[in-house]
Amino acid sequence: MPGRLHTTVRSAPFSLYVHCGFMRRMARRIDTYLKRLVSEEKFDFYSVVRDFADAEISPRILDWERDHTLVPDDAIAKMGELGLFGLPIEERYGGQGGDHTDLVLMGLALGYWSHSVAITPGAALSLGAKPLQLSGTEEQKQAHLPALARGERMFVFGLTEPGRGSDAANPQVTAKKNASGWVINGEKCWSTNAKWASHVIVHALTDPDGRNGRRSTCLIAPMDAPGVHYQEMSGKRVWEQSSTGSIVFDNVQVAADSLLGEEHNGFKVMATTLNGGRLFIAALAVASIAFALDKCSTYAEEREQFGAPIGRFQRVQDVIVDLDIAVERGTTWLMDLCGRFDKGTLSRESAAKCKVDCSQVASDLLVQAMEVCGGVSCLDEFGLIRHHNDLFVTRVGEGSNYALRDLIVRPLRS
Amino acid sequence: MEILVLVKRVPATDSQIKIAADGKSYDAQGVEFVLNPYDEFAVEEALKTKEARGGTVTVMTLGTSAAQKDLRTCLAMGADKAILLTCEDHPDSAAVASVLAEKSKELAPDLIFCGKQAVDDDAGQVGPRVATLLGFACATDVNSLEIGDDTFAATRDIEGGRETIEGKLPAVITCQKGLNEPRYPNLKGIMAAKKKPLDEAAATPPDNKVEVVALEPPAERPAPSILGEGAAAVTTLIDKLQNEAKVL
Repeated sequence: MPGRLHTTVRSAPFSLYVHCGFMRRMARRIDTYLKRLVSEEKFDFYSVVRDFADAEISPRILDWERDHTLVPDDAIAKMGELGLFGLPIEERYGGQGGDHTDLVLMGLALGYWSHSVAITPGAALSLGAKPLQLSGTEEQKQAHLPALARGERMFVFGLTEPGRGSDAANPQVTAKKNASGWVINGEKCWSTNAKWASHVIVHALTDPDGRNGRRSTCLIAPMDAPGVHYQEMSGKRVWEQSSTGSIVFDNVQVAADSLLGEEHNGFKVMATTLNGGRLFIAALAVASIAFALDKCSTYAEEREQFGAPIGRFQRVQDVIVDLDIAVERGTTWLMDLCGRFDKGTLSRESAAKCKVDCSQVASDLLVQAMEVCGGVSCLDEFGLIRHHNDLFVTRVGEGSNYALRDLIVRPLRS
Repeated sequence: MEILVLVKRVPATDSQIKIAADGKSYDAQGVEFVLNPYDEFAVEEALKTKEARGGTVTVMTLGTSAAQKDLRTCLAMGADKAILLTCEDHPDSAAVASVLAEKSKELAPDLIFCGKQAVDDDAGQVGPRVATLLGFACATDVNSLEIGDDTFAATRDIEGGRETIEGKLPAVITCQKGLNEPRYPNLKGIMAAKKKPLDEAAATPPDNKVEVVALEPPAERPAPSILGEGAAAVTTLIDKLQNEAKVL
């Protein structure tokens, strides 16, 4: 008979156990695939973030949901101590010197429990720090990246507007040049991390008569500049612990050196930024499938009906097998594309295809996984309903799947 | 300050342990191994001491070459170098302490940290034995510590209260939960750990003085039973408590 030498509880960081209480970590099938795909060091890093999430996030997420609170400051601070806010920032700017693979591994490890938690450093890096790394001047990088890496400062990307989503190349927010720099007017919304932001990168219309794709400019505005008003968007029933803000600009004066990238070439800054962000969104979708696979396969072994575990019934097996295929395929695809992103050879179409497919497959399979588990899936503590709701965002966030299909089809036209 | 940490690779405490066919050991097949959780407190305290007072942190273990992974974890947390004394046998506590103490002499540490016990055999002997062999002061089960220039003040929980003891360095401190909150290695630490020295040398421990003769899993708990409802069940309950559980 198998026995236990110890009953234990994971009570503090990194596999701290004590001789009282009991908690068994849910084995993650996704680990098997990741171990084959990435180097030992990368897998070690993933394991640390996974253990952190098991110890610090998973026991608390239900309370945050029931209290309708955003990711609390202490959890953000702990992610900062772990270096997550500096993950793909170069070491010379005080970052961890990681690459996009590391960022996506973080997304897989944290997103397994909560998209909201994962997207907090995820958006801070792929939408906040990344445009600065890709398009910023040396002065701008030195001024901001070290504080971003320490988690003391956070950038948000002001892209979506009340009247502009997929047609992002033509923003309604305007920036007009004057003697001191630029004056910004208008409203941005759906800005992830707005609550914690120190600065916002504003994608604004600067040349209405320019050709399509050369009409806008990206500017860095401090959130405490006179005329910047932030409000948390209320009533959101997805990514509930993530901050999503509306930011209004009322004659906001920014200096000339606030320009990020070239004048009237803001669309390029935005487009290159979103490429990497889309892989992160795909990672959250894959993390949800990974969670559903573990939850559903465990439940199917434990739940007995008609005198047998329901996992012995073929239609239930089909769902589990489809989840397993989706996890292995998703991780393999993601790791390949991350490698290409880091080499600078990832096409917009490739990133878009991965995001479209992973998000769609994940949300379709999640419903089937819930159906296998039945009524218990409706309870928040079972966890599947959280992923079900959060996966909707992966279909419409960082480029809606409908709009991205228009991008994917372009090279297919003669 | 030269700081040494003695660590051990143990089965993860949430592993399902099966007793091997010989009835004296466990089947390592499918068991996940980790750094002994109490040793994580030891590594963290060593790093904190180094940060406060300067010096070098060396981690050392006696075990199979698989323990490289756990030493790399310690290096990723921030230790400067690691020593792996390899041995395929199962030395007893006295033999382990003898090998570790012998190697420790070469390093001439001011402070040695280790977990209060390893969670596999729960012997808790290595720390005090190493201190004895080296002639060092020793404080066990420490959950609060202050280090001076050549002194230490260690606090430990005792039955019904707390005890603080002071002593002179060099000393061995065995670490208990509550001493600190071990840090997670970050990505930079994991990458840096690859380049830090990890020396490996074969060890020949002395003969064991004791041997494990039997290993058994805990007795299975009997299935619970419902004795009845309301006042009618009280007589049966008292009878069971008196004659079966023998607690009344």
